[in-house]
Amino acid sequence: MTAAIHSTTIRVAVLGNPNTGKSTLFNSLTGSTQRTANYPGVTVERRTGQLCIEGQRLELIDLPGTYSLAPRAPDELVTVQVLLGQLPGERLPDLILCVVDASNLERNLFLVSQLLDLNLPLVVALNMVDLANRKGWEIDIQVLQEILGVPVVPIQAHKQIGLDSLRQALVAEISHPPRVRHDPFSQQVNERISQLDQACPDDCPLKRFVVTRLLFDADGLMTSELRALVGPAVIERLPVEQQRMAETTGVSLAEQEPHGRYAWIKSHSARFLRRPASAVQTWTTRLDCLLTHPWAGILVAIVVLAALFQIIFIAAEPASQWIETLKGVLTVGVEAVMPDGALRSLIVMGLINGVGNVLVFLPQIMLLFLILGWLEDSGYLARATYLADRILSRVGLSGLSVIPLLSSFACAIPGIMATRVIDNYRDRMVTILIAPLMSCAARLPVYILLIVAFVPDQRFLNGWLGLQGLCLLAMYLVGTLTAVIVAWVLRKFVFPGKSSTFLIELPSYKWPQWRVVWRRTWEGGKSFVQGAGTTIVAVSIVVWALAYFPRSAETVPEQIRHNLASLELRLAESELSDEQRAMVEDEKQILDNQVAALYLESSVLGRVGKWIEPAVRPLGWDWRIGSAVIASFPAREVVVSTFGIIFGLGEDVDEHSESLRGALTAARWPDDQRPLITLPVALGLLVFFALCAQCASTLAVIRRETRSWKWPLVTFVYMTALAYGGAWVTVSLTATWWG
Amino acid sequence: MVSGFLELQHLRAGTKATVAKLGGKALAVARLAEMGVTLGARIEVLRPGSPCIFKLEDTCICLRLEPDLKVLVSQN
Repeated sequence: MTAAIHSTTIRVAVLGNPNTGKSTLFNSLTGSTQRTANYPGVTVERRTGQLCIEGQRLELIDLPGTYSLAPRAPDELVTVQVLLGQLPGERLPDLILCVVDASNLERNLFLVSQLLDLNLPLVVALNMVDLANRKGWEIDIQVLQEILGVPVVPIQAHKQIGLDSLRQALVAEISHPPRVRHDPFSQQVNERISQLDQACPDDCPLKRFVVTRLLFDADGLMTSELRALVGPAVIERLPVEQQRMAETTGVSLAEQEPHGRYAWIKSHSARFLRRPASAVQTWTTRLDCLLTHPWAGILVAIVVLAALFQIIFIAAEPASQWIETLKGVLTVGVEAVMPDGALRSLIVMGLINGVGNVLVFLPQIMLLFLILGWLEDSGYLARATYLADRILSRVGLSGLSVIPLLSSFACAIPGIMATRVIDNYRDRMVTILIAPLMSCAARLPVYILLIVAFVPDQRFLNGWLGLQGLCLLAMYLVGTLTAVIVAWVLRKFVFPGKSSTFLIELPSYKWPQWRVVWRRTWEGGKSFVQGAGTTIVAVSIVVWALAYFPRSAETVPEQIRHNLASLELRLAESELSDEQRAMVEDEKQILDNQVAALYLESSVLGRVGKWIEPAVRPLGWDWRIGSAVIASFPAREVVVSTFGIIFGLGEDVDEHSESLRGALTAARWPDDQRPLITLPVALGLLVFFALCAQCASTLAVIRRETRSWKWPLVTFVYMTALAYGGAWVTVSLTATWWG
Repeated sequence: MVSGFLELQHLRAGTKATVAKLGGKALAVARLAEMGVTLGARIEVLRPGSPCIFKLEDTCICLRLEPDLKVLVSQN
């Protein structure tokens, strides 16, 4: 049997409590061989890595961190399904590697005790022994090994200490089940397990483990799958045995398992763990005095947040600029080699602009993941969660929503993906639905364009406080405050029900591991490009087509065509001086822009803009603004370039472009020559962009995470309604003030 | 001090107590118990109220109690 196993790859399931350094160890062991995929049908990542020890190939499967094998959240369910070989394409693991935090040994042994029930080969990696030593603890590894019946290897994953011994232990342990029969429960409980075990047919995999789980988890997520494994006799017996167990032990069903296992751990811990009489004052306790302090903690959190946004906006700028430049170079290159026509326009406007518009946000998104990952790994985010919970619980959310909502300030896509940590269904749904209201990075170009063009540059307090900056801040507040109100309404009417208890562990502070943080950043960026990128490109092409077709030369008046032709003739003449040539080129550019605007007016997009003009008239918009806004529904950042096309500037503009700003302020109503965009209209537009669901990728991610078309539709409808209403109120109110 | 049952969220900062009874929905009780908050566990309140932060031997736990969970402790 041994030989048969050795010839194939050994599958090793890697488990552990959260914050045990499991990811660090996994990275150290498998290095660059890691692969990530998704488990079929669920949004839980399946991360694997290869390892070769003494000619034996091992495949390590990194399972989500969990405190218990009683699954109550989707990612915990995956853990148990993998252990039982119950997922399609997965067989039973050959070996289990459990990572244990030595400085929190007793709590971690709860999971080890559950794993021992599997009676599969098991190796315990005792991580962070340095931390335990610093607390003055002495752990007798030998005794611990004897009690558990499996090898225990002390390691320090972050310093790569003890990894060789761990590798040796893994290979040596293949096909060696635990040497001691694990028996943590009292006689009364054991009788119940044995009764069920006898009633269970032999073809059930790991049957003693399965019936034990069924006995304790009255309403866990796994229960229905487990029931299918054990046959009707066990199902019939189950309530009787649970009843009898409660009667004989006097402990409620929910507490039965923790009560039994912790009693077992406590009864042995004195033999392997010696602690000093008085606890050593650690770093963590001292830092927590400040960071969880009722007001000092909030102050620190605000400073951290402010720094986070500053870094994202400032540090990502050069990289974004670089991507913009590349976009420009590519455009010029394509225009130089390809003749004017539909195909060139598709490549430049649809593909280069489409892909570029996605990639421009990549630096911000990766920076956000980097900083958030660093804060999370250091242990600070858990404290921020505590502080946020005191505020968020008032609108019916928990502190767990704070990370998704914070991420949404950079981009709602990773924010919505981050809601997977929220185990409460209602909290998770509300968080997903309000996340797109946070002002994401894509709104920034629109804000900057409109604010610089229309909000007067007044300064107060010796120039330290500017009206334009305040206006930008107001936009972020509009989104956030609306989100708070929407959360309250959703929690009250759409997802009613009592809040559930909120429980998290505050891990010890530690210096973050760059490799772990970087891997998370990389994967976040990758999933953004794959998920959002494909949608944006597809949608950009559609918008391009709407703005391009139908296209016939008759649209352009004879006069302009004639003038253009004569300008081209003059350019073809060789005896022009440089100065003259520049003048002619300028003239031609103006005509080209007029032509582009005329084509747009007759395109499908332009016609739709004219058609909806009555509907947007109350907001002070004409068909041009209307069609720009329609074009920006797939991706709001598109609006800047669409404004450029519509106001006759050609396509090569960005939010800093002086000419676009000038064109916007110079635009008039055709009938009476009033300025088109006044300050109230501009403010209304700003509010519209702050509240509107103009992002196809976000809606696609909501669809993926909720597995229903209903919720993206709800999000789209409610946000668009809010945006229209908000813009109308803003225009009406400010028009009376400035009127 | 006379020992009587108190609800966890009513303890002051710095109080040491022993868990005497968990009550409420099975799901919430099991979650808390799995973290080690079982009968007889010794805790020390670091930040009072709800959410509170308390120390349980080697673990720091942040807990906001809602009607689905009750934690009764005895002070000693």
